[in-house]
Amino acid sequence: MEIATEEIENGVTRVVLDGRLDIAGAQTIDMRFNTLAGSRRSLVVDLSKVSFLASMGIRLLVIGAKTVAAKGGKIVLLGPNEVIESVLKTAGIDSVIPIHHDRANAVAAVTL
Amino acid sequence: MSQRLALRRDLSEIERATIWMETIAVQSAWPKTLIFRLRLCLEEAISNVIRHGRAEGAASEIHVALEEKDQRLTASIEDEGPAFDPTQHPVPERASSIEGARPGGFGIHLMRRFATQLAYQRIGPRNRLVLMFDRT
Repeated sequence: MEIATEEIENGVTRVVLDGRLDIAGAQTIDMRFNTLAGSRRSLVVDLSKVSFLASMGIRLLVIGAKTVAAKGGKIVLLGPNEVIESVLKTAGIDSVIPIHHDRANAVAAVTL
Repeated sequence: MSQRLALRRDLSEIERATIWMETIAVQSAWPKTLIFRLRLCLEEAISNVIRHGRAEGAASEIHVALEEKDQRLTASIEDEGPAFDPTQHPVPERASSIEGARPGGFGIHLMRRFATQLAYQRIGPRNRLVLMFDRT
């Protein structure tokens, strides 16, 4: 599991997750992801390269989103593939962290 | 096709179970979506068993079996932990805001959605969870 960041327009940070967000994957990026959630106010979490997601990965996303929201920031998910999106929707994550498929819309949604 | 694997009660063993399952999946030419569903359910089921611990004096190993018959795949997970029936677990409530969202508690709900059918039996000291998947 890999994590990369890109500072894009309007103070927005794109976090690209790449690989399998299973127990091992979530443990690998946990500290880095939480640090980003604690230090940024506008986050687009790009899931387009995530090939697997289980409950420990969902836990990571929810805890990160709570951290961002607690300081008045905004976070969205971008571009999950069909099966990853069905995992997110089954867990009801789409009601608390918006899912976007268009990058410009995702950036606009988190711009403060 | 019928294959068995014994695991230690350690979360790192889930990786071994995944590699074992995927090797069988490739040999059996299972569709990608089926592999994803099976992998998700195995990870949730095995991590639940590890988290619930084992009974005093009970065997520590977790036994996983995969069987394919008539276009239907069956995965069974057996352990000697305290009795726990995931099929009776309540469906988690949907949060309406991130502030009210719980970070966990989705595992059993995901298994219900991604397996075709779930069955549980308590056999003496053992929990036996059976996950069934239609191949299509």
